Amino acid sequence: MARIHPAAVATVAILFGVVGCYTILQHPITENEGPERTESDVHSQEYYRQNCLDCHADYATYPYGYFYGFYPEYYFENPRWGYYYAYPWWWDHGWYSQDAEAGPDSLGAVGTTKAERRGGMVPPYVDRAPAVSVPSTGVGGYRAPGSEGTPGKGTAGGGSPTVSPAKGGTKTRIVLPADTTGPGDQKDQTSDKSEEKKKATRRGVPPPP
Amino acid sequence: MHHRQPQVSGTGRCLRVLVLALIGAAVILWPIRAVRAQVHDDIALSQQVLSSDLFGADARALGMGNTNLALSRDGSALIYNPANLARIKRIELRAGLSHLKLDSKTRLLAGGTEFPESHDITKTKINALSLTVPVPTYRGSLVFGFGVHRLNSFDGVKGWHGRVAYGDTAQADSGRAFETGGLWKWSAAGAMDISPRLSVGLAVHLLTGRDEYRFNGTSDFSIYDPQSNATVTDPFTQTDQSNGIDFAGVSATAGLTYTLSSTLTAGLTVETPQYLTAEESGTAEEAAWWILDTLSSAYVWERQLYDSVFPTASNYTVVRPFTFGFGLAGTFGHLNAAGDLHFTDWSQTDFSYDNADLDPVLQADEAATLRFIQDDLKEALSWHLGAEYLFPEQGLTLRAGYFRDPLPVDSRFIESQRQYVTAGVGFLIDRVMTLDLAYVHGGYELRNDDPGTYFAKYKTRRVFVTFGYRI
Repeated sequence: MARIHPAAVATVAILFGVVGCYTILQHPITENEGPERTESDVHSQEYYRQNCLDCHADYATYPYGYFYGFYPEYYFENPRWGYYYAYPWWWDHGWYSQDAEAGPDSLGAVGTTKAERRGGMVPPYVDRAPAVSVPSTGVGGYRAPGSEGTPGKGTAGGGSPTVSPAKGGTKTRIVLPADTTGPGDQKDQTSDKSEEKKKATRRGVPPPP
Repeated sequence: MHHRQPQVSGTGRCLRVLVLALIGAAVILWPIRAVRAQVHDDIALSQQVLSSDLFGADARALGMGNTNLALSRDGSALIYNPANLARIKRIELRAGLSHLKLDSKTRLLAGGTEFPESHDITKTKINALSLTVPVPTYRGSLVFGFGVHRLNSFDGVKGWHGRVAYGDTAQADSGRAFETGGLWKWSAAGAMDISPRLSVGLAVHLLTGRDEYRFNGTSDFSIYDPQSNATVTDPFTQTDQSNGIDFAGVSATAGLTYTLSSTLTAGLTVETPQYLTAEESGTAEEAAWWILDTLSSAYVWERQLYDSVFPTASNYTVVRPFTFGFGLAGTFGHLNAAGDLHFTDWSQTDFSYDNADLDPVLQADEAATLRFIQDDLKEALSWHLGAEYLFPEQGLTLRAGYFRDPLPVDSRFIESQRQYVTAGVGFLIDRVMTLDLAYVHGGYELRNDDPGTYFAKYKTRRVFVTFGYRI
């Protein structure tokens, strides 16, 4: 039989070596660390999934959280494209839901919101979706209803996210309202707001504050 | 190399000196012709083992000129670039069918006359089946995939005939070779994001397959003897050969995908050498007759010279060299465009019989094959271009492409290079299924040498259908 080439072995070793560099499968236990920590203080993985925006306000932004990437505009305009190619299967199988064990009827639900109602691309940890289409403005993009004018009240992050475009027309990301983002996101926040004003003006509606 | 013609041996009782001379000439010349034909076989019919002819694994990629190093986003990444598995977010089942129609046209130039012959075959087969499973992640991506793809097709046919006269003598040859089978690549792969823009993947492949080869050929000499006023046709030689070759092997593919910008993505792959072992077995039957054809009487079948069955069996190993791939893909609104390059230095191919040191015939054959590899196999850089335009509301995608996949043999064997044009259409059905169709048209023409007395032109029309289902 053939020999195993050293390059294959080296490649496998490299692959194993890089595990954990960026991709995260389990949330590290961070609450109440110290010798006085009790078992009840330790949150479950489900807790972290449901409340990620409590600590990671920019979790929904590129490149930090799961929902990142350079997705084309039509993924949002026609949610079935986004659903097929970019919507993780565990988002609509209760991975984020407390009702995950409630049976088949609960699949696809996060709280009471079905995945498809949230649009093809909006993650379950971002509440108050669905995303709605913004008419073509040359750069495209999407935003959650209610995010214009006054920030909404999301269950996870305390603010309703806006799915807005980045420069270039194909990079799209979710940006949280200013009161929920950290300093590192302020620049993006500002540029997105500016972009939103331009779009709102073109749509003939008052721009967001 | 495989498809060895039998070692012709044995002599018979002769009636006339002339006939004896003709028999001797025929017995000597037949293996020479057979060996020559075998060179064609090695290049044309069995080239898939030695060369780069990737039959095709995915309708979407093939619709775009077989470009998929940077663009793949489905289970076909197992074959093209395992790093792209990291893009898959849903559990995917993928299956594909292929349909091949191959036309072969041969021309034998002899004595100023051209002898054309044409054959065709059609084959419809399953060519892809894969399962891809993304692991839930908080950040990044980790995806595993398993699949089997029909990597190479051995399906082929060709025939030839010709007759040349030299004064009172004439020589006629005809033959037909038929081959079927394929090489399958069983793959297990994993891919993950190691940075927001960089994904890596590794696939290990188990190669299995079978090649069935059948050859039938006839040859005769005829001479007019003015003293006896007779035309002597002698000997009439017929060869029937049947071989089966079982292949098994291993290889691995490592890939990288890097998102350069919001519109551009690059893919890089390295496939390790493929270690292929082959077990060949079969039979070859050779028969020859004297045939005395007088002008004044009916045919007289003098006697059978010999009728022998030669069992053929040999085990050998082929090591195909490294293959490197680089691809670039761009997304511009509803338009996706991609270009891929693949490079292989086929002169680094290795070949050895398992027990050549014990068998002088195998030893000589191995030396000849290695000489052929060293002298006549070359580097090959194939390039692929393709684009698709999406109509998102309709769930429709139109595709077109072109690829040039040079034959890795010396140019003196090539009359026209291997190239294909492709077209395709894709449908996103509801939000759970894709259906892709591709049409690939192209071919190439070989000759036995430069300027050539024998030409074999192959045109293939391939149709691929691939289903994807995501849950």
